[in-house]
Amino acid sequence: MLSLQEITDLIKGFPADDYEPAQQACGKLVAAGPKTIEALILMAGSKFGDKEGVQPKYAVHALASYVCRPGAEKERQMFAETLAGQLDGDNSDDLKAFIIRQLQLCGREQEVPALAKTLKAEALKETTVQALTAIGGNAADKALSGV
Amino acid sequence: MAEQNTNTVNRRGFLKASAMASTAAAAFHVVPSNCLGRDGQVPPSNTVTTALVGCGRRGAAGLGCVGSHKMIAYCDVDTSHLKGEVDNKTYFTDFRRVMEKKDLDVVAISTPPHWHALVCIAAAEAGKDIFCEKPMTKFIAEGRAVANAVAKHKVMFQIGTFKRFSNSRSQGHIENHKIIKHGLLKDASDVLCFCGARNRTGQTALEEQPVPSTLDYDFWLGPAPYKPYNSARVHYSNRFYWDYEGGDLTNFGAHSVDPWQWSFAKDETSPVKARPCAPWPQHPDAVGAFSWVELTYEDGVRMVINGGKGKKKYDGPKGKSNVNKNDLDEAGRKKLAELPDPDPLVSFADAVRTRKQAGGNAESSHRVCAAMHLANIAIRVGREIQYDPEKEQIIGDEEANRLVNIPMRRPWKLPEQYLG
Repeated sequence: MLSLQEITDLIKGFPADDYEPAQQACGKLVAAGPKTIEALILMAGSKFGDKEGVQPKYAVHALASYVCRPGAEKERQMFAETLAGQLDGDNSDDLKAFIIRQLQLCGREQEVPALAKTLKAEALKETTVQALTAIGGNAADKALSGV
Repeated sequence: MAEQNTNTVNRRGFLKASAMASTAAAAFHVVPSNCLGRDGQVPPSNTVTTALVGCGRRGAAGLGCVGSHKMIAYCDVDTSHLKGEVDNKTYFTDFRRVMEKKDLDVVAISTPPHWHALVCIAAAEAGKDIFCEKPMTKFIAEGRAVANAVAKHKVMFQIGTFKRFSNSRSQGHIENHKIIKHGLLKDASDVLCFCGARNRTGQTALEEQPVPSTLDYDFWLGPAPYKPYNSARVHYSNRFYWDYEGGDLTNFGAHSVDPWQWSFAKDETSPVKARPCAPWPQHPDAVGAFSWVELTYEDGVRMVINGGKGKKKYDGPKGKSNVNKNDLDEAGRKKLAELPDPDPLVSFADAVRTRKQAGGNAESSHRVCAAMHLANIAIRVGREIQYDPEKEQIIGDEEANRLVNIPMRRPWKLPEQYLG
């Protein structure tokens, strides 16, 4: 696992002028595993407009794209599962909404159960509907059928 | 939505029939001279009635292209943009009420782009002709839905950019168009053009602000995801947020992609590849800078959308933006000489009156936007993407393909009947 300072140093240059250094940074974050990803997610801040959360939000969003590159399915699974795991618990609605929007891009059927729970939260319902609609498939359709 | 409005067609058709009947031997009614355009008067059939949906900064600036017209309705979700009190007769806040007006011929749409598709479809279903500011759409599936709705309801459509008309009258561009359309070049990958766009960006940390009392923010958002209000999101600077538009690439890029798409005879297809060069990652909310995106068509023709000065230069092979008979072999030159020139593009004013589709129609505008949206998708995912222009799907990249048809916030949605 990377320390908060190591994570901060990796992401402080986002956005980078070139893809390669940014994607190398993403590779290091992913390689560091779920605990590092969790720490990064929490750095994204509890409020939508948090200035302190700007770089971490760039990074989480970057990872949502990075792990979806062809041939990276195992990385995507780890990242999406870690994101979905943050939908339980005490994170703010703003942060959960941000997480759900990343799952709209990188989530698959495995994340549907976690998203189905956020359908029950009034503040997160519409964001979740959009994510489940994008993910599609039988499980997502079933979760949406009750909405 | 309202049923297709046939009253306008019947009114226009009656006046045309009246004009014809007046010259017949057995004419049973007197046709006023102004119906025939005599004595310098404008015939009522030539003066269309118009409504403006989205009365902000851009307003009715583009409506001059419809010719003589009479504004009969104004609609905006921000009442500070209206010159009168909301009465649902002249001044509206809900575009759906505007479409119910039976005396309305043409709707001009100057809302932010995330609303364009739904308002266009509503207008088409109500039988209204459409002038829509560029870019036509926010994402690719919207464009297909609008094009299909316009075709089904047989309304006229013109996008708010016009340089293709002058290209279509230029002998050099006509020759270029014919050569590429008929595949006369041995290697079309030599064909390369640069389309310019500006490069302004959005703000990345927007704190929540009080919503102005005149603005119905929920309605302004409409199909876009809910995010807390900040004045940077609305009224011009909406251009720089992914939820409402695609930055200057779509805002300004449309003005050069559109005419080049005509010159390259690509109005009925889309690129098969988009290769980006941009700072990465992009912010999830605010549009960032880009250097260029190379769009390649199936025949090899390349179009590069440039982000402006100071950014990285295009790294692809050189090419030429115009080809002519000197680029062909003898057989090609002979074939070129036999080909007729393309039909002149129809102005919107003529389209409304003759019912022949305008030069900047819904299908061509959808293809322009599809090219620009592919460019932005490639920028956002940070990699080259492949596209199927027939199925209108990105190939082999699930995340990128999710940006082709982005779910709308309920209750808004693209009608299924117009998709695919």
